[in-house]
Amino acid sequence: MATVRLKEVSKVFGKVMAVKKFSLNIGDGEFIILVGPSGCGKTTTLRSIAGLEEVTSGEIYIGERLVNDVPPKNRDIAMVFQNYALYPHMNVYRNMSFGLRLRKVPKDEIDKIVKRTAELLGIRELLDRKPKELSGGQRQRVALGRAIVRNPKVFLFDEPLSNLDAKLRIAMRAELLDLHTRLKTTTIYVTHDQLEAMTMGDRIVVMNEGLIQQVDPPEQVYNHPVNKYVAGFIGSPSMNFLDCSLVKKNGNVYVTSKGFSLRMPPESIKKIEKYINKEVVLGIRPELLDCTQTVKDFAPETTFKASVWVIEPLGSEKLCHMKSEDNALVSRLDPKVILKAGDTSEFCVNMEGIHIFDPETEETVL
Amino acid sequence: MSTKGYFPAWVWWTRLLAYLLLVVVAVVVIFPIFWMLISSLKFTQELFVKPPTWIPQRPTLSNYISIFKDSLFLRYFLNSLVVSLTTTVITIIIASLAGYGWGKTNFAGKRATSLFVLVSQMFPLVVLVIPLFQILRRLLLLNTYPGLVLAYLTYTIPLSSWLLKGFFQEIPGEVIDSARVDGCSHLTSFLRIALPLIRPGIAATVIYCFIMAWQEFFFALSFMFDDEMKTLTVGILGFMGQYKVSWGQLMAASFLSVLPTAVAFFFVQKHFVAGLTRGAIK
Repeated sequence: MATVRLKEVSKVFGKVMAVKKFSLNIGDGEFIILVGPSGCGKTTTLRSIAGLEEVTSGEIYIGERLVNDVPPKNRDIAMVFQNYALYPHMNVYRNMSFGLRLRKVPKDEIDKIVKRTAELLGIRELLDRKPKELSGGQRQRVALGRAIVRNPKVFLFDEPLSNLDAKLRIAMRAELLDLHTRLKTTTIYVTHDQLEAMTMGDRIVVMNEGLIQQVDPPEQVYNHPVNKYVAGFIGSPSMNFLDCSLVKKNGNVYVTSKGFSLRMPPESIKKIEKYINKEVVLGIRPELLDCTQTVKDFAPETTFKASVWVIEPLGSEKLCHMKSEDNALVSRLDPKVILKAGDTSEFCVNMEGIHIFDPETEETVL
Repeated sequence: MSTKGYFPAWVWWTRLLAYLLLVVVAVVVIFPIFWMLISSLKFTQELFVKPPTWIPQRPTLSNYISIFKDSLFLRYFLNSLVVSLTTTVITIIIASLAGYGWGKTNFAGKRATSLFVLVSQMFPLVVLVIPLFQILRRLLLLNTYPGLVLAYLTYTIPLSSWLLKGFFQEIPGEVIDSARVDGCSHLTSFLRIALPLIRPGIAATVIYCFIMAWQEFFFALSFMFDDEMKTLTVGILGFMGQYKVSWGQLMAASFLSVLPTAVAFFFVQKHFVAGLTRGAIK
């Protein structure tokens, strides 16, 4: 186990700067998630930590050791790839023991470790099979097993679940978490799936275009995104963004747009004061938007009318896509709400949880 | 129910046509070898009988006995074997390293160097003979095994490297990355992961190199002077004298010279299997 420290790491491919001055301290035993859209530099960052990419500038430390010039094999890390990357000419046993054999671990010890790990992952009976005789989920476990047997200082995961079907993905997600609580190895996990990011990490690193946007625990990222990008990326369905302006009327502040005017809670006024009479971006999470059919105790002047466009019943909830004048919004509703496409209904907003963003800098104001 | 019912008539006709075509091609390829074998088993008089006989009326091994007894055939055979095998082994070692470098690693000048090597192959062999002769003479390698091997390497290595480069490129990059994280250096990931995965490519390249060196005539004729140093292709020429061609011996020697290639192919063909990298990735 070890800490991992990145100091102003940059990586340039030709003319493209894939990673820009990435600095991060990862604690011993921490589960860190790098999340962002494809091409945001998260995989490049991970490969740089593994030593598979040379960084253009900056320093990478594993433990106290500067590893910039250390080849991957001497970094004491293990990596699981998106497409598993098993050795097709070796059976499962040899795949898993390959790293140990290279390190000249005694044979009987290798045997013990491999069998114990195979037991842990439920692949004991597959040890004699070749990768081509395994299903996707089994291959994934073998790839995982190959990483675990090495007992490395750091685990690097590059979207390890993205090739699995939805059901298996959820099961493996839980298994990975369980494994981490047992092994307590420092883990860096790359994903573009914000659901994985939310559920698995101690901290999430949200990246975009090679830059770190925010590093915080999942709930912090969800409830207090630092900018509009993070707010929109984390959460599914994603946050509703509406171009509005702030106006002051009778001592209250309203966020208004064509079709609605919502009264801001008085305690928020201090933070948004300098944006009064200016354009802002209003951010509302789908769960803060509710139908007045089921909610009775909403604050005054926090409702608006909208016409329902599409209803997606998901069983435990209903997603309601609606239109209010020029604005399209999504809300997460109680399944008991009775609405159908074409209906016009009144919706209320829980103003305690809304966000206000600066339209120029896109940074969070509230 | 007849199996005919499963396919429309045109499928049968196209298949029939395809098989007919294959038979024609097979006959064209096999006939000279067949004729060599038949003729080598005949006495000289029978060779010139008109119309020619398909089956030797008095089969004889005298031609075979005579090439072993009265000529340096065995020596030629050995020369060819040494030169061809050495060429093949050296080519495989150098070309697989080059192919791996070009196919699976990144370095400045990767494209330029690989293209340069390919372009060098665009000169006809004839153009190379005189410069090669000069070089070998200065290196004191004329009329030696290493000299001829060196000459053969000039055209087996470039093509083989390109052939193997293509095979290496088929290996998913992550498999090599994975090996490097697991504890391999570039060399060990080449030896323990990449090489076993391109077995069919190696097999094809072995066959290519061996045949190229085995059947080569022009370089062997130019660089090997002593009778003891001649390779088979040049040696067989000796059966064609100025006034007389020993057809029976020529045919016997030719037939024997085909055998090693056939044997090589027999041993290597089991490695021509598809889908070795299956299962590596999703």
